[in-house]
Amino acid sequence: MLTLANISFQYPSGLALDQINLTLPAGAFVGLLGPNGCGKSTLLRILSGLAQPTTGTYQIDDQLITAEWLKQPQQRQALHQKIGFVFQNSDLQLFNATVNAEVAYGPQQLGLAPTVVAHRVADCLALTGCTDLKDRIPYQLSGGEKKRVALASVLALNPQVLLLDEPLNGLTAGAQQEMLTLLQQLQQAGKTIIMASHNFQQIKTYAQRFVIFNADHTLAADLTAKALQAQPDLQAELALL
Amino acid sequence: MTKKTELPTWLQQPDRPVQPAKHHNFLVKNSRRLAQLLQQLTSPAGIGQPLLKTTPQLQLVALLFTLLLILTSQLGWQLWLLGLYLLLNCLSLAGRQLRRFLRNWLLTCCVALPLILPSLWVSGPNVLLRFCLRTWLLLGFTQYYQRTVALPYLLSGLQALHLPNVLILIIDIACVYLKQLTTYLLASLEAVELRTIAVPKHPYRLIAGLFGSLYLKSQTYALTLNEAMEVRGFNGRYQPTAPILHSRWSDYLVLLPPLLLAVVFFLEK
Repeated sequence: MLTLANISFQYPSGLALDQINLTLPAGAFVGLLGPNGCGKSTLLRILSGLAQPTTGTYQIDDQLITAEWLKQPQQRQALHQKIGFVFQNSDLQLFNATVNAEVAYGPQQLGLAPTVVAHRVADCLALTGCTDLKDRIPYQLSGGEKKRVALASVLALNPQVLLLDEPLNGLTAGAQQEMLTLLQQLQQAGKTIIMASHNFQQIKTYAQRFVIFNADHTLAADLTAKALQAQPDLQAELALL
Repeated sequence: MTKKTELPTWLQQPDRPVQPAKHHNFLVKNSRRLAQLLQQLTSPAGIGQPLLKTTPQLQLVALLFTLLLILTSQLGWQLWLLGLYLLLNCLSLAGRQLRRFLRNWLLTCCVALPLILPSLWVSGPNVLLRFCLRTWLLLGFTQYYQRTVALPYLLSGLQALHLPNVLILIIDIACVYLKQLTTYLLASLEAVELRTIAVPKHPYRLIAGLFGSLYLKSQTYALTLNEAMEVRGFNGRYQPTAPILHSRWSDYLVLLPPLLLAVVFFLEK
């Protein structure tokens, strides 16, 4: 369970998150919605441990995640094993010479046997529809292909929590459906999926819970899918994001 | 596109936690350094206060004049006076800034040393010593300037000195370009860190991969930037937009110390 209490985050250029209180249960599919620049990506950075909140506390299960706690390499690495993060710009995540090496990078870090690594890589490439790309150079892939390879490379680590920042951008309608179905399967297998998006229509049938941000970086609503169904006005508002 | 639809068993159960290695700070340290560089490139915050507050253009003139003095100084006492002047300047830096200044200065001095050392065989130890001192002073003053003037202000200073617009454009683009690459490398290091659970098995391959990727992206970025400028009708004319800070009489005080030193050196001759 991820718990955020009174979280605020300040960039030198201004406020990104203002007094956010959230409890995200394990095994849920959560959609983070809101207009551009409302703080969704910053929240994901905090959840992944890449950024520390200016004020407030962040807790995973019973463990308080602080800058001091993250200074210990063992603790930081344990957190990274638990939480996977697919960046909004997948270009930044791909640094290996081939797609195969890219996906194998994570499992190799886990110290798995080469046969197990090969098995995992093949599975992840197949799940994301990237098997044909395995010998290609990630740099030369299209935007949508890079997104899928980035997801495969994070999946290969088998994280319990999967953070995704606008993962559907640049994908075709068919590929979007396939990715959402895969994420739903992962959630049904017990993983926590937290996905930032500004497209409500795409995720409304998949997410079980919606965390909605205001443009002023405050939390507008934290609703279950059922509760949101009862609010057609809010749904119409979200559809216009 | 053939796609597997069922999740494999290993993905349906959590992995055993890996025992991470104890010493693995390479990524964190480098990320921190890049964040500092980025701050220096983007905002004047974190930049030290110079000894005498002045405009960037006068600070640049003072620096160039001081560098000229160092290059023309031949005697030991002249270099000693210039060293004292550098020390006096350094006193204005805050503790953290001073530590960074000293660390970078020492590093650049060490890098310069192998280039200077061959002069020992060519001209002997006395010349080598003077050469070393002058090079270290040059590096010290340049480092001090870098610590006290943010890059956006440098552009404003160059503009106020009426330098050719093309030169300002080149420096402007270089700054933007450097900022982009730093941002890119910082985000890449973060991405690597997120997927690096234990000590990298092949750290040099990882570094090579990162730099290879950076090289390719920078090439693409440069070409795209050029195309974007052409598409928007760039024809070689450039009007700098950085606001010019006009100098008051008190700003000229920054030129006084190097001028005084020049007078003393001249009189002693």
